[in-house]
Amino acid sequence: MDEVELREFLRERYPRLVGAVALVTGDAASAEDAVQEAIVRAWERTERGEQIVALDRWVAAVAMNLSRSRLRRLRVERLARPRLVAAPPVQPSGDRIDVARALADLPRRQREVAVLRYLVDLSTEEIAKQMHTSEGTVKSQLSKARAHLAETLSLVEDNDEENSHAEHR
Amino acid sequence: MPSIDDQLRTRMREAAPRPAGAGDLVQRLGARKRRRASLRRAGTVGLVVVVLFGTAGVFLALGRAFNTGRTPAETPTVRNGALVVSIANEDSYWLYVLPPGKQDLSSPDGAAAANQEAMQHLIGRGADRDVQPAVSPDGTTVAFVHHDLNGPGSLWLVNIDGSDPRQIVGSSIDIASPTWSPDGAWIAFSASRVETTPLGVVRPDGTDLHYILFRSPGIEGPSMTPAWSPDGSSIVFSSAPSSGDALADLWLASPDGTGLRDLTQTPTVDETDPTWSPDGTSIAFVTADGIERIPAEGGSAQVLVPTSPTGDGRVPTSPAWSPDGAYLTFVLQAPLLAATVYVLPTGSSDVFPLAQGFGFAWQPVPATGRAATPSPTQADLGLGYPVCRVSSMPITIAASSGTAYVFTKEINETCPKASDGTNLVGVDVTGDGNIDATSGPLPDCFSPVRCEAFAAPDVNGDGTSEIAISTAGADGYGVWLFAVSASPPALEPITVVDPQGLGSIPPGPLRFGWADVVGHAEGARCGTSADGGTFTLFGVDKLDPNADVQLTDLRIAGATATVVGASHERVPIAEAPAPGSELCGAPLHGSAANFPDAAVAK
Repeated sequence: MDEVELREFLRERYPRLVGAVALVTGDAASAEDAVQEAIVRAWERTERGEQIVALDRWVAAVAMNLSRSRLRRLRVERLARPRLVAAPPVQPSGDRIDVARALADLPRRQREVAVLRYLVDLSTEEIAKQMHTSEGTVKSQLSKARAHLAETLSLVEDNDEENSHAEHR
Repeated sequence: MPSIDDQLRTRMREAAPRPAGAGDLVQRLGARKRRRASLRRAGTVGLVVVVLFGTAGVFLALGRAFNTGRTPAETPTVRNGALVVSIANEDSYWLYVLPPGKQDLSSPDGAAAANQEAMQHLIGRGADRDVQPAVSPDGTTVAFVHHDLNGPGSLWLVNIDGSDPRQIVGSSIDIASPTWSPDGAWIAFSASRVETTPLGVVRPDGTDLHYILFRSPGIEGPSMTPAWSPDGSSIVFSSAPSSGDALADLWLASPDGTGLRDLTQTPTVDETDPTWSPDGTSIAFVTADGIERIPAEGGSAQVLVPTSPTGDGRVPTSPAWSPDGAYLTFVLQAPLLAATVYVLPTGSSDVFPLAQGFGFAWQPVPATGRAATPSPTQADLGLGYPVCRVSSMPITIAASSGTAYVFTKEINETCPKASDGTNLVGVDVTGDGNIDATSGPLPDCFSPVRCEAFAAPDVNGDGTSEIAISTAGADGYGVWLFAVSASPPALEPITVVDPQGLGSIPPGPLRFGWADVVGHAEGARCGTSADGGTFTLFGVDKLDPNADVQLTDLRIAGATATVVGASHERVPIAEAPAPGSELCGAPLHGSAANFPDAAVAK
């Protein structure tokens, strides 16, 4: 990964990935930390000559994994003390809280699958590959997550043809 | 109505939290990568302190370049006051003040730039664009350029406390780059809507507005970014010569417009943004190669700050020395990234971020007696010389009580920066309040936390505390261990010997890391083995779902730590050792007292 690629990636994908991990973990600061760590690891790997086929997918998955570490929260709290630039205050919005709450009700795996699908725009096949599981499992988790989110957020079914196509791309 | 999938996409995009600004992201990632590399190189005892300085080498060349030239006046007649910065808020730009107490000018690598939360709002509301601040020589008044959104610039003044904002020249001539005369009687600026773009000059009360026209055949382009010399005799500015496609040179002229001369005469190099060193001997400016300096009388240029000094493509602009001449300050910026004010200390080899902002001005504070503030009086602890920045903790010596201290020697009745001063460890073994033995100096007391008393565990069970002293880094602590003896009173650094040649830690003073970062942790703990107590250093590399744990067992007797074992194991992350809030049963003191008990916390 050269600097141009890195900069482009940071510009194009970084905010979305941080948002995705934050929606899964419920913590924006630790999400940034996890995504940054994942990017650095990808960077190291490419310098060692490894090829990362889908950087986006790779970073998303590694960041999700990293964010599971119970220690991350502790580290972020500690480092926040002298060093980190404080995040600008987020404008709370009803919408944001609703979606976050609806996601928080889901089991972690379903939450990850839903966020990777809808926010990071990974296909079910890509998600399966990255989670080392079958596409069938991902689809079933996604379907459960989708049903729960639709119900909790009172989303009305209308033209749902995408559900039968897009999920198979 | 969109499908549920589309609705979910939209809702999640709206709901996803945004990162906290991309400011120094590329730089931060680079530093993080170097830190990881350093940790790997240093093995299980990769000291945090080593890691912290991993990036310093990048700037060594820079520091050397800076040191070879003439240095600014050594005895400052002016001190540094607040830093006035212009910060972007959406489409607007407002001015903020970073007071001296919030300026971290002794930062090692990894420091963060002060943000708006550390600053006071000076002026700006709504869609105002208040930019290009310049503080008067007496430090009381800020001149700045005000734009109504994209409108032309007008010249305003506001008191440094934010009171009495007033316009002194309207926007019809589109003002830019104000600069004060050293006596504070005039403000010069660039006036781009006046034909031939002269420099404008006006009294701070808005009277006597006039223009300096340079009727030289050499000058064609606009006269930009003027800077008044410290002795008041000349103004340097940037303007393109009229010959062909020549790029901007620096020009020098008297404030009355006479004596114009081309200082650089480099038609193929674009020189802009000149600024004077406080002693008036040299001028720094911006070129395609970074920030350079030339003698004020002209001569060959020397690079002070290269292009992309932090390796992330951001280029340095807007140089200015701090009023005391101790720091060259500049802005690093790149498209799409927030601009940050950076600092290169004179004689240092490291640039570091100081504050958010894409434009800035230092407030000079004219000296009115002693420049340095005496530190609060501290007892001399029976040492016979004054000390400051004392931290202490109770210790046990052969079952009776004593105290361990970490302190800095005062210099000329003032407390030096910890990174400059002599930092020592001392012990009072009798409990009379006087230090009976000292050891040191400690080499790496980093700002802002500096060296502290860390813990006083009895690691070998002999009834006398060992003394752990820490220095804090961005990601944790580096810890030294000292041995105390009571009779005669003595304090010695504990030294590692490795008679079996196990090689897992280097021989020499015992130092270990106390850190728990993403993917890596290190620390120490006490344990028992068949033939007595051990002190075990651990390093943990966490690679989900397992952790690689490297252990080094030491037996500590007196001031010697003998390596008696080294091993490597792979365990689930949850079972890996982690640094916590105690060391061998002794509580952590100082800032480390906040270190989370990682082994317990969920």
